[in-house]
Amino acid sequence: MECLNCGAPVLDNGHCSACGMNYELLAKAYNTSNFYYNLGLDRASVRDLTGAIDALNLALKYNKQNINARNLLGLVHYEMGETVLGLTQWVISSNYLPEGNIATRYIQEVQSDPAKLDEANQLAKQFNQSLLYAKQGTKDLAFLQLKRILSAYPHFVKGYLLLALLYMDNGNYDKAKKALKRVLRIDKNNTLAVKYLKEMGITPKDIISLKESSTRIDVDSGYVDEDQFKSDLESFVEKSLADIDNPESSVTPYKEINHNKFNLLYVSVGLILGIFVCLLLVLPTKLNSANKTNRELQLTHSEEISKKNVSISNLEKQIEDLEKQIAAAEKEKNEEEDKKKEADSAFDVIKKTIAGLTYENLCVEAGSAVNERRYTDAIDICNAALQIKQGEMAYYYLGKAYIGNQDEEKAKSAFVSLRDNYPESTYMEEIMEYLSE
Amino acid sequence: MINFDEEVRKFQPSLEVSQVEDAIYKNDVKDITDVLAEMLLQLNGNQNK
Repeated sequence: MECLNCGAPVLDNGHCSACGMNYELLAKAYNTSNFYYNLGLDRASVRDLTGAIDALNLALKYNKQNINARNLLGLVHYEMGETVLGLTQWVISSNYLPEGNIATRYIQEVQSDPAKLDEANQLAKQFNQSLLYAKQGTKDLAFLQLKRILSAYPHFVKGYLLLALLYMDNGNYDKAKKALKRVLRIDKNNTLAVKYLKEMGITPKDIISLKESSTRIDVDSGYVDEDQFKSDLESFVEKSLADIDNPESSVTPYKEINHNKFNLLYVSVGLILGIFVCLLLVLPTKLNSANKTNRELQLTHSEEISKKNVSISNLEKQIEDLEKQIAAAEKEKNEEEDKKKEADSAFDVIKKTIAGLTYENLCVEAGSAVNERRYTDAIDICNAALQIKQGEMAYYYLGKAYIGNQDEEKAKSAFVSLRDNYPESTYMEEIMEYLSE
Repeated sequence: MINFDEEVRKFQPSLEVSQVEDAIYKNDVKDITDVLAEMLLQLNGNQNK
């Protein structure tokens, strides 16, 4: 014997040689799983889809690798309009058994038509939206959305149940019953549908008759079962008979139907309905998104404004600081200028004093150089003294030094300068004698 | 009498295509084999101790 779990040989004690599992226990579990699969299959074949789901889930609890059970579970979900849920089960199934698995074909079929997959996704999204509307209390929008979904997907059980609940809440029990009847056509033993019917006061006997009337299913046709068709036909005949019996009802003459007029009417009604739906569905969404965008923009702008305000206040502070610095610098500059003026005046005084002193000293020095017959030195000293200050003594000793140096022309020029600049000089007589010679 | 709010709360949102991957990864239902394997592991652990 081989282990059901890993395929290794089973020992004499009934346990697997590799994984140690008890063969008998596993075999029992696998048998039970197959039993529930068969039960699920039976239920699914009589359209007891809810019962089939319960049985198949149990089958998977006993053996999660029961491929048939998983594939059938996916198929049942798919039948109830839950394409994505069905796809999930098939993907798991094909993961356990990649080859020779019918789930692979199912997946390929769903995936081969991207439009269909997108439709299934849209269905889920729209249902979730309508559920949200219902939970939020905007029941009108939920109604509209659900009706649109169910007109496109007449197998969507969950949608009918929600619609029935909304009708019941609205007090419209006839329409709720109609929706629930459609549920029972797809899923004969839907517990929620039965519960709602009981709550509406429908007797168990009537519920059973409802279920029995829902056995023949042809959802692609306008009438989903023959009973409905017959009842509609009977009511039509009864109404015609009543019209004939009623003397007040006037019999109108035969008229050719003006199709053009009706076409125009249909187009205008369609247009009005379109505008109404647009106002109800599209506009609020657009308004909401526009409001959201505005709020976001407002937030962004206010953030930018606050940032700019902060930078402005920082810049103002910097300007204040700079102005203070400039004022301090100007004050310092003025103080420095005052100090400089004071220093200049002091320097002038010192310069004048020193110059006077230096001139006289140089003149004394020049006089002693002339007396000691150092005429060249005397000339240099006198020139230096004259650079500091013009004076009679410097010219006099300069002339004397040139005479000593035997440069009569320069001596005369020095004496001429003395004569012209200092006519009342004490050296005037001496130099006039020399010049006259 | 049915309470609308209570009943609506019981409705679960439908699975969207974008959520398939998560649903597959989270679909880690334990079966009898898993339970037995866990029990064996625990038994072996206790014996080793």
